[in-house]
Amino acid sequence: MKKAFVTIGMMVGLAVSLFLYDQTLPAPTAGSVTIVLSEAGEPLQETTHAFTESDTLFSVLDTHYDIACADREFHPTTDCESLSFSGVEGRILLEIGPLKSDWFTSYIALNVNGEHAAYGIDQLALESGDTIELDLVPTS
Amino acid sequence: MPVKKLTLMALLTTLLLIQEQALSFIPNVQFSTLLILLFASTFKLRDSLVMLAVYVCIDSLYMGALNPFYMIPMYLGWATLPVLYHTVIKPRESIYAMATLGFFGGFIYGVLFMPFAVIQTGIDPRAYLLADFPFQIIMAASNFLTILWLYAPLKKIYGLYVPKEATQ
Repeated sequence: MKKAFVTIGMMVGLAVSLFLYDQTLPAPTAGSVTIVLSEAGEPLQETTHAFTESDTLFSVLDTHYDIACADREFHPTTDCESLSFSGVEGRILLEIGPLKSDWFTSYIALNVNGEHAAYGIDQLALESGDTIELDLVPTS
Repeated sequence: MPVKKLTLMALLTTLLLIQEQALSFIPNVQFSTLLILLFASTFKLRDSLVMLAVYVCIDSLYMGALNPFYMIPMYLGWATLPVLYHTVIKPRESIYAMATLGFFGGFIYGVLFMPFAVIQTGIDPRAYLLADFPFQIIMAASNFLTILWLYAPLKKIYGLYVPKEATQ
């Protein structure tokens, strides 16, 4: 009986914590973002795209660019299905427009307003006016 | 080292790896903490640390690369469990104490990755911790509940197939 109460308490605590965490995240808004494609920090292409409240960065990129994502073996595929990588659900971008990464010798870094993004292309909250840089960098 | 013990260690390490991969579709929900504590309850600390080293190497190979920025915090995170088990929990083994260890183990595991992520990517530590928080709390709760409900029954079955004398 004690175990059952502890379990219920834990589940309630988990739900409350995740709810409170969710409240700290910025609510989705509509607007426009500037996407910069660059190689080793050198900008190649810069375009501004509008987005709606239901858009994610992935949906914006998928609409406006030719992209390829990693499959389970980290090979590029245009299917771009959301997969679980190390337990985290989402997509890994390997190719976009002129940028092509093979994952092993280079990768596409995601920077927001000049800083490394804390989320990936599926989780990043879009905020109007943001400049999102996709930078092809060699692995060190 | 006796062949039987060596075989058991290899078999149990394989079990640890397989269950993790089988449950990888649910982020941070697995039985790794439960199994590591279960194995630590019969094996010596040194043996547990060897099993975890093999587990981390194979897991890293399977996931794509032997990247020290993942392997080191992963090993430290998992190794914390048998170390704390043998130093703090073992003298007065209690299911609630173990579940609490598993709970805090979830946060320790997540936080250990932070300095390595900061060094590798230059990310803001606060942003990293904020992004990782939901995964840490899910892992902590999952560890707590699996240990609370499954440790005792699993230990009975485990004792049938892995006699304590075979692990010494």
